[in-house]
Amino acid sequence: MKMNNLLKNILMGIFAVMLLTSTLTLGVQNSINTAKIDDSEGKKGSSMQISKSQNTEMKLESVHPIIQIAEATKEIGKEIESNEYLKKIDNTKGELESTPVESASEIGTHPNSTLSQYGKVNEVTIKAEKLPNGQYAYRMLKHVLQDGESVEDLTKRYPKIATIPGPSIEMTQHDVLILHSIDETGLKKTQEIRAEKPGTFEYYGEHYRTLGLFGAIIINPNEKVPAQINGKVVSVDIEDLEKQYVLFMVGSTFWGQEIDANHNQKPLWTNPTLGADLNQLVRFHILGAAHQHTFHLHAHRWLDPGTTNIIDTKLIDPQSTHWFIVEAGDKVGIGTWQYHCHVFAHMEAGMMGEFKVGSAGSDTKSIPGVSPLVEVKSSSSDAQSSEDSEALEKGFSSQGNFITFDITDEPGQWFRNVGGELLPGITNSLGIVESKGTAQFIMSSTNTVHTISSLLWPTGAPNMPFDQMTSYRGGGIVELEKPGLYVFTCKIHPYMLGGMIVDDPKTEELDLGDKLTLNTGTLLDPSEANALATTSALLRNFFIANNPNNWQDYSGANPIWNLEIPEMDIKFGDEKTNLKTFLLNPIGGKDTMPLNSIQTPLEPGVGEVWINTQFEKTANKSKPGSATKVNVEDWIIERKVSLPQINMNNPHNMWSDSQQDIIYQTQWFDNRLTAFDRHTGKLLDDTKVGDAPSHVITNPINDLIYVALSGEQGVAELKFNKDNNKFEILRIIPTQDSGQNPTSPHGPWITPDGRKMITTNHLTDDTSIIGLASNLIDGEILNRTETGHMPIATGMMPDGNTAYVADFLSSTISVIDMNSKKILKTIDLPDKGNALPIETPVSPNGQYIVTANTLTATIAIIDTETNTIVKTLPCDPGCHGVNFGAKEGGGYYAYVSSKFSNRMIVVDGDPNNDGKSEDAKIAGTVLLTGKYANDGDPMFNTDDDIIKYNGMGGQGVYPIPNINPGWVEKLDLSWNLTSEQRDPVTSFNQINNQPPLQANNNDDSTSNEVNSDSIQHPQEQINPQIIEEKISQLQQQSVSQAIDPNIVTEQVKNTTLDKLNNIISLLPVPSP
Amino acid sequence: MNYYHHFSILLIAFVASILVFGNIDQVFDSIYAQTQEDSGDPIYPYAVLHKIEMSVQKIEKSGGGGDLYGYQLDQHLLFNSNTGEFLNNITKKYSPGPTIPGPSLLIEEGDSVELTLKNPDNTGAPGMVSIHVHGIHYSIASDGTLGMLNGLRDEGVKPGQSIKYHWTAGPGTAGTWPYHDHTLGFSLGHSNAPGTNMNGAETIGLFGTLVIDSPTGKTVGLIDGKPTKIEIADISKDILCYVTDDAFWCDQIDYNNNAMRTALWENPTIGLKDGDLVRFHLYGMGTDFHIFELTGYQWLEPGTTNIISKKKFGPLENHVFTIEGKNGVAEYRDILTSHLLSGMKGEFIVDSVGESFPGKSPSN
Repeated sequence: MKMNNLLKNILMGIFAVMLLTSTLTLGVQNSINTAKIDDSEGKKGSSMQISKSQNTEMKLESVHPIIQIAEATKEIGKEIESNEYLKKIDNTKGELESTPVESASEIGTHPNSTLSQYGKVNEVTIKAEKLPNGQYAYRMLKHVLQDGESVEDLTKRYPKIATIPGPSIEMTQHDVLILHSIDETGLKKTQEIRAEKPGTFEYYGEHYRTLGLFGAIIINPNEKVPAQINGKVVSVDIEDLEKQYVLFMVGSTFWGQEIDANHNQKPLWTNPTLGADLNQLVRFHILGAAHQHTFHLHAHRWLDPGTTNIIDTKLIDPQSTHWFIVEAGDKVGIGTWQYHCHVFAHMEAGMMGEFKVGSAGSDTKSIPGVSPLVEVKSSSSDAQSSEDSEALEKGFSSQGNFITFDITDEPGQWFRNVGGELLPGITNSLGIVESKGTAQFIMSSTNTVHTISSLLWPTGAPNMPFDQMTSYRGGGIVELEKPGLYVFTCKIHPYMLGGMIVDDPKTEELDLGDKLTLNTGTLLDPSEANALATTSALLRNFFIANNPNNWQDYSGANPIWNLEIPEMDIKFGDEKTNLKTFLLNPIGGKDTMPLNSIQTPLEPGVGEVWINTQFEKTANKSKPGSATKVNVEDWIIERKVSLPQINMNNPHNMWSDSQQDIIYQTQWFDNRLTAFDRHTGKLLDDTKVGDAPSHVITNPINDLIYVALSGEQGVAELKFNKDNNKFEILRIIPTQDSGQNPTSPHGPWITPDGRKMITTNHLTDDTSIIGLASNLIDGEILNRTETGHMPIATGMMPDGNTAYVADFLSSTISVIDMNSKKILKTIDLPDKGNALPIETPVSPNGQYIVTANTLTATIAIIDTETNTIVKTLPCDPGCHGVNFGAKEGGGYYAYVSSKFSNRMIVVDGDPNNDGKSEDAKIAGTVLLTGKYANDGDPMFNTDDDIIKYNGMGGQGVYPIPNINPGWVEKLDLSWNLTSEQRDPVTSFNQINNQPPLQANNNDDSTSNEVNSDSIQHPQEQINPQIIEEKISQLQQQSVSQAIDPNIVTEQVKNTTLDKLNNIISLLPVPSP
Repeated sequence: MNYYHHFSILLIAFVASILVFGNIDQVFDSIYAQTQEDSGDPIYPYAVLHKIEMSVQKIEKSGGGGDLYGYQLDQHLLFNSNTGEFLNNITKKYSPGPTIPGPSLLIEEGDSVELTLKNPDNTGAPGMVSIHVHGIHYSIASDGTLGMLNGLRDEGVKPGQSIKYHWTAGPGTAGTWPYHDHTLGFSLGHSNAPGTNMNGAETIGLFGTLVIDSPTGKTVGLIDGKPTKIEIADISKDILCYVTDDAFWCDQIDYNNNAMRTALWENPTIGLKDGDLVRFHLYGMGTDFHIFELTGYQWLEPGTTNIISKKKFGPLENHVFTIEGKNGVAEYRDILTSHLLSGMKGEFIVDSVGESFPGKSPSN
């Protein structure tokens, strides 16, 4: 799943050529003994030459039909023109009805002498049609076979309906195929394919290949083909085949079709049961249209075409096709033999079917799987219409019982129902089916890995929970058999939500189910008020997250929040209500609410704050997101960095180098880390680090960069070379031991002494504490500490001894002792189960924690001395990111972002500076859209034009200067910081009335000049010499203090920066 | 491997090959010579019945993150298939205790296997475990799958139970094949249906290799840059590695040492004596795809004469090749960026000693 795309393409290109050439040779020589050892190199060369000569002669043959057909659209016109025996095909847009297909006789009227060299001419017309669920399928309109003078209409072989896969076009080697395809817009294209190479090839639509526009071209050789039958490799006549199965592997679904001995085709749809009698000769055609797979059929083995290799598992990807012949139940007998994709996550996601081998003569038939077809009930047309009207009464239009969700990087459409908006204007991420139905998922519009995981489902529903152990590329398919509400999420990107309601037609209302189960195990029983509140909150969030119109827009003089919630009667247990009432009552019952106007804080902050406005869409790139710079001294937007030149994709989290010059930017729905110049916004470098890079942080001691790869199983370690502005990726540090279940780390933190890193592991509900120093074992996992469900982000106490981890799904904060690695306490957040906390940093002086609760849209202030919540402040929907910056003149601001609003909230956690946070308050708010002049020009620097969702999607927050303990000591003296701000550890120890740097040590006798300095001259501008000494002392002492007591370390006594460098040199510095 | 017993047939095959096939061109003919005859099924006069007992054992991990599981070889007895005569007990050829990958089973086409799998009460997996094997012949009753898939019964074992699988290495089954758990969620005590949260034991240690050698006693390797037919008996080591999502897990069969298996665990150092022949058996396992490379070496793409130095494969696809060791240190690795960066590599050292050094094992 972490395939380097370029490499993959190159390799697969080579594979494709190899496959084709070897297939060609096989077909011609009709022998398995084609692999001549002596001339192996020559063979490769000669086959290349063959390809080349064919290429000049007739371009179409030497190219893989897959590529050929995909790219043929424009070139084909020229090709056709140059062929005298064909009349020029009208390539203009027009429906079939108005542009009749050229008949075979017309071709015949322009015979060309070269035609006779070839076999029969197949003239085929296929048409792309939209299925009720929004998928597309090809339908055979006409297949005419011209063989010399005789003309045969083969159209009757095919189903009359459009099917997935599309009609298989069977031809014989040397035949000519004239393929007219009418695309989904009615545009007709014609291509000519000469069937030089026997084998199975794919044709597909320019669009919607992943949604159903694909089919097979089967080119049968003139001669027999080798196959392993009854343990022997023998030659098989294609005419002896009793059945052929065409299986496309797409997402995590097989789409099947059967061709019988008379070449009649039957659609088998999804994950079908393939039926055959014992010892019937059958051929499988396995093709890929999306994602990488390995096809495996139980208890059968076959000859890999073009080789002498006997296999039972074969790599299939969008570039490859595979076919093989077996005798059903050969030497293994009758039975229900499974076929499946052997990619483990795909197996978990349902990618499997059965090959049912019955006894000889039993006429065991294939059984189609579920399909997007809407079955027309033959009993009475009244029944159908009454059902329709019933659906209309319930407020939705029918898309059938098979809903397909495309997984996308597009804000508010992460689970996009490809059938369109079932509830127009309200959401595109909901599917409603009757009685029972199928949810299919395909990750075709995203650049990274995901999971398709049940968040909640009707209690006791079969096939639930649907989940996978690791993130992957592919899809999923699951049958929903019990009425009620099903919500799916991606465990890597947990605000991606897709919903399915299986409605019980016997009730008048839309059914949410009797009871619901959350994937945390919590039961939502509608007879309990708390469960109703949770359900309401989750569903409200669903309709906010999935509808950008429901996001809070604070621009304008009198901002108003309009919430579009469908007015539908719903039933949850015995509770009958209206959805709108149910969702809005807990927040005041109105769908139009005034929003507070923007009020910037009265007291300025220091420096600037960068916010990832991750959903912002700009004109010159397809993927969303930018980094927005807020000047917090005068509270204005100064810059937006969208980086259209690299199509920056969902920028999620940032950090900077110690000099605060370069901003490192993760692209969460991609696999890249980007560096840009903080001062100019100019792109410096963009490098692949691994899938779904979530958070980035530096080691304060040596400035190495650590990127949590939430789509992988580790943390990437990089350095940035300032001399050439390039990243250098050093390694990926695994966050689990080999063989253990994948962790998917998300929000790490590093202790101020740079010696330990803690990661929050989404998929394993724990943290990994990893040693980063040379006298700990560098990069080794020191411990895994279990937390609540889906830990997501971390805060660290200034002494590095205690970490606070937000357990997203448990709505708790786990307090972890970094030394004993034990949980010290679990803090319940308000509205237990509803808070869904995300970022949770500790104030640099260690006094309090600010936690963003995304579901309740609240900000919790937690006192670190008591580990209790001392204050709760309101936030915006999707409250997400928090980080601390310096307040001018002393103290801190916590800057808070929200995904579904376009403002930043500024929290002052201790306005009266008394060391207590009960008086924590919102100091002000900042609009993230930036200002525009009257002529529409932005009054801020930008590298792209914002076209929608301006300022929306607030996630990562990175204040500059970085005043977190460990990093603040590295700051240049030009920053306008107080001595306390520059020395948070001392402040922390002061607050805790403990000797500095010895938090765990009761020895009060340690003299404490640093501390007394701070007390005596809190606001004094300290001379640089003293600062250097202090930094040095802090570094030394905190470094030595965090060292495992069992390990003897060299005592460092010097107090100059030079000596600090010595310490740094003791730390791991990767070799270049 | 019952080499001593089969030495005669190997010798005959070897001599026959020299007599019959003067030219290496005909290696492939030789491989298929037997199966291309039209005179019915081949007869295997020296067929061996392997009575194997294996159990599933937990491999406990300290430090959290979850335990792993491994198959353990408890007994491997050889009998003459035709006469029932006891031939040998080769249990001691296996590494003691559970290993990842599981015991490397080495048989020959024509042999049959009776494999008993136990899930011990206290020391095994908490839920159901099974063995599903590829390549070899077996009836649906030995598929190792769940009843909901095979329509027959759950072909796995819960704690305290045992199950017997019957395999027959019939004609055309020669090759390297994987075996693995196929109970999906049941192995960890879940009771979910397929397609639902089947976080199984297939990926956390329950996989191993079955090698069925060709009755011709031959294979093909790349020697001195030339595709060359090789007597399987001339191979010094089989290196059997599963390439999982995060490591190479390897086992070794050393024919210089009486076909002893050595569990090499995770990303081991693979040793070979200078000039010796080694056969690599690689398998994907898990969710990821891989591009395998052995620096400085080329080999034959299986079933072809294509000389390659890299190979892409996915879960449960095999890749088997034979090469001759060249004095020096090479690196085997998965060159996909994220895999390589996370340490999916190890050394392949060819010297006068030829000793392999196991990598990290889950329990240390």
